[in-house]
Amino acid sequence: MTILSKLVTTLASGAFLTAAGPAFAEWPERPVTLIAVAGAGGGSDYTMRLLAREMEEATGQSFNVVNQAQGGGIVGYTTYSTSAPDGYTLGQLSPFAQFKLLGQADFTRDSFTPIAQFNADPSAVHVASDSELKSLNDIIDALKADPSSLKISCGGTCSASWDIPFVSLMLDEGIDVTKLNLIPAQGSAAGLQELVSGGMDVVLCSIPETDSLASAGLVKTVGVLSSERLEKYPYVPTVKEKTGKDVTGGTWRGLAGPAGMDPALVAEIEAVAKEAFNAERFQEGMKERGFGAVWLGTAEFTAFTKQHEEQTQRVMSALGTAEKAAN
Amino acid sequence: MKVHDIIVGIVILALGLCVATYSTTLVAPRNLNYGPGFFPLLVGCGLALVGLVISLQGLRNLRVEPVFVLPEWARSAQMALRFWILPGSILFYVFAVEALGFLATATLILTAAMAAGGIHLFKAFVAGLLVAVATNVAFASLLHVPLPWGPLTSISGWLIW
Amino acid sequence: MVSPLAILGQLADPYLLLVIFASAFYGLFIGAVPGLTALMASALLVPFIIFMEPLPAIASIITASAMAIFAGDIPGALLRMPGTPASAAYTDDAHALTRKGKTVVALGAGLFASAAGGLFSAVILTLAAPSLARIALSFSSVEYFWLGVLGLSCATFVAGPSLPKGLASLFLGLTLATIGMDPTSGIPRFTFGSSNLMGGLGLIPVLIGLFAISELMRNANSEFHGHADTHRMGPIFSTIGARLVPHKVGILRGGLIGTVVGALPGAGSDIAAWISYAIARRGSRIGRKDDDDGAVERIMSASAANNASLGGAYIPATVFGIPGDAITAIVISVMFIKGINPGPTLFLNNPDVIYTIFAIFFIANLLMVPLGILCIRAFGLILKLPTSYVSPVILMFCILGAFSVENTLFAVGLVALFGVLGYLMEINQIPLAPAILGLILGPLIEQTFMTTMLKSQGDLLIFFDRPIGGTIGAFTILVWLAAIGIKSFSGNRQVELTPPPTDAAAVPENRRAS
Repeated sequence: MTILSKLVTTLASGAFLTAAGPAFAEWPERPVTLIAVAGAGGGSDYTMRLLAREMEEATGQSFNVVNQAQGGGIVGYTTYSTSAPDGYTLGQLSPFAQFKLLGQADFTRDSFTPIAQFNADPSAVHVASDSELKSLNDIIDALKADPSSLKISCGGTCSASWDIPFVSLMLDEGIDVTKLNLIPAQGSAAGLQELVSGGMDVVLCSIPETDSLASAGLVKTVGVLSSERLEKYPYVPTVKEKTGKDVTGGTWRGLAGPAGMDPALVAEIEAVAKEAFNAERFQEGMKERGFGAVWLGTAEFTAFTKQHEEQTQRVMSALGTAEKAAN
Repeated sequence: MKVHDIIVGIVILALGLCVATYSTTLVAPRNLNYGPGFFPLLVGCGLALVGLVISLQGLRNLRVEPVFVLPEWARSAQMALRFWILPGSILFYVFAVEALGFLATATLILTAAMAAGGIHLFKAFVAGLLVAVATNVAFASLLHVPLPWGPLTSISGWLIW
Repeated sequence: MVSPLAILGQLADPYLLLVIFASAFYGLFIGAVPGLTALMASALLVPFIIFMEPLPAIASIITASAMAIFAGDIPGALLRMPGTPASAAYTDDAHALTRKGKTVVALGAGLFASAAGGLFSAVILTLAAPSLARIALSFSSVEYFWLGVLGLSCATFVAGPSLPKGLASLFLGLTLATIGMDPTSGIPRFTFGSSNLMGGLGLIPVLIGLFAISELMRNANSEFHGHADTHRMGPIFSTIGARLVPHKVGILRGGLIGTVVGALPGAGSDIAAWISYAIARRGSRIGRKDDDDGAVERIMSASAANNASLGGAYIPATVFGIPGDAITAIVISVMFIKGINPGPTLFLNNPDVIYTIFAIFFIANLLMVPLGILCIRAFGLILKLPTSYVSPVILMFCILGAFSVENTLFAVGLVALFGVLGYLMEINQIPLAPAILGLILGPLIEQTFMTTMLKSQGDLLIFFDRPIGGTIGAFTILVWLAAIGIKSFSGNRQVELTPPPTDAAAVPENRRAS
């Protein structure tokens, strides 16, 4: 965008907003920093940049995405949750409750002001194509017989987005989850590599991440932890169909700011984010890459973060990981 | 600040012992038999061992080598300034850049370091300012590195292309 | 197979060619400036290419990363400040040539070997990507563990005159690698409650501090001109042309090692360059020598491997969408985002796209030669400016380089800290390169060891259970025994033959005076 056109849009939007006269008419009067808690080029980075582009379009101000992936995102969360609650430093909010429970960080949902959620991707259960495990029920039966008989890759760090809902399902099935052999990986690609090389029996991660290996005929998805089948993968059964237990979960991405933001300001940012979310280019960009575009407004998103903390707490207490760190 | 190998060895030995001791305080979580302390323990022991070997080898040259050699920069105040301004200005950057912005901080650092190198203050300032503006344009405006703008924050939207 | 005409048609787009040229200059610039790295070049491109057309986007990142990896050799040879973690392996060799007034030889060797290595891997990529990728996928954590331990043995080859001091540096690097969250359990180690330390020490800020800042500090009171009387450069083509033939084996070996190691997900160009350097140092008749020829052989092997690994990394990346290193991880995301989903179907359904991408690889490596020569000359000119002007500017770029990779001021602070540490280590004759090696390999080794132990429930026999893993394991143990044996034997002999090394104590001073 040239300086001139930026100047024009800024003046135009300024004039319009002054006429309308809401409480924070001036937001954003300078560039906004959006902190992505993941590295450049990854899925989080991409979705944040897609959103930032449309928010830029909607306001005429620049929205700069800054990557702070260190410590699994702890550095990024700490940066924006401790910055001034003026609406100019916002960040990505994704599953965060495990950090506190593992004794790695001290932020909770009270450290953030949730604004809106724009994406959710369900966790899914994958096996190698030549595996003896043919379905989700095979896996559950094997684990019922001996909980530590399968090597399960968390597709990233454990006690995180992919394995928490899976363990939640195992709890409902009455399996002794403390004996599960959950193995962390350096991201889902590394976990899938282990699966294909014969080092793992089950990998947990989202479905789009397995596209390449699935098309090579090496990996098969046996179940997805969502309430309905996914539009892009109609052949993958849901957990509910297979087990009758409606356990869902996975990763999600939302926009948040530091705690203590003015509700009027939050409402204004939510409106801009909503406009960006509804933009055609955003919807297409999400669809192309297989990201689920799911909208939760401020109220629902705030309630959802509470639910997220509770589910994480329940699973980690059952696993015994939370207490260990607290001691 | 060259010191005798015996001292080098002792420092490494001590570091290794600290690492090894600290690593024994790390408890293994649930079903792991090798916990987070295992690897640091090995590495700490390795450090301590090579530290010991370096000290013992140093004993052989006990008299040949001086215990402490005065560093070059200790010879004059100006040389010390030229030396310490390097890490010093990086630290100055860390603490000043949020408040002053990249442009002013970079100009200050460049001017000071050039002047310390014997360049006339005015020439150093002009050169420093030019380099600071050029890097600011290249990195913040064109490559979108999130450099702080300091007092310019409110108009920075027009300066990022 | 796909018709060459279709590929040429794709390539004839003037916009695409413009993007390739612009990215080439950008990559060369970033790589050649001390403190700015190839990883930074790729990461900073993301916001620009993320919304570009697919082919120009991928062409841009391929070209920029290849150029930046080569250009990292330039400050390594001229200023002893390696531009990438990979060029840290042969910085001392290249800088020694520069001090003898043979800059052209050092950089020309690096340039031609880089281009040759890149082309070599491009050929393999084009001919055999799908079948090689299957082999790469058979590696599990056991094999990676042994590969990492094998890589550690490289430390003994860059340890300098004292093996214990080299090992001290290696262990220091391994210690630094453990700072932050433990890779398996996530338990914080050595963090002392700081959320910055929780993220661990970034490789790039440590590299910049240890090498670039410490070198600036050592030269704080002297001129770079002292050892850069060198810029009366002769013609690069004819000087190196004659040298390519005797070193062809070294280049081929480097290209092969680079392609293979690069193709293993998670290994990447850093490890490729180190292993190739170590093999040239020990395993080759020419490379074993301590004269100029030996140095050229080692530089050529390592830089061929360095650039070849970039091509190798595209083998699992394009076939299975599994990244070989941090740079290809960025490329894969860009491919996904652009709708060019990596996978075997890409070779079946869109062969013209994938082979055009490979063709861009050839173009980038060919373009490297003329543009690289330009870049070397330009850099030589800049160094003719007085040190009092150049050194503060390098300092500025070091700050920028650390900040733009990590986006935290903490990383900038690390640069200062490791600058002082690097200075103290150098002056006490503790080599710096093994520390970087430890920092690169530490996480790989620990992660794969822990994962393997979790899989086997603590049974150590698993390390020899698998055929490939067991073989690499046995080989690695042999190499380690041999390396330590040879080194301590020859080391002892040296001590006995030469008088106590009072001269050696003055190495930095000598360098300053010359």
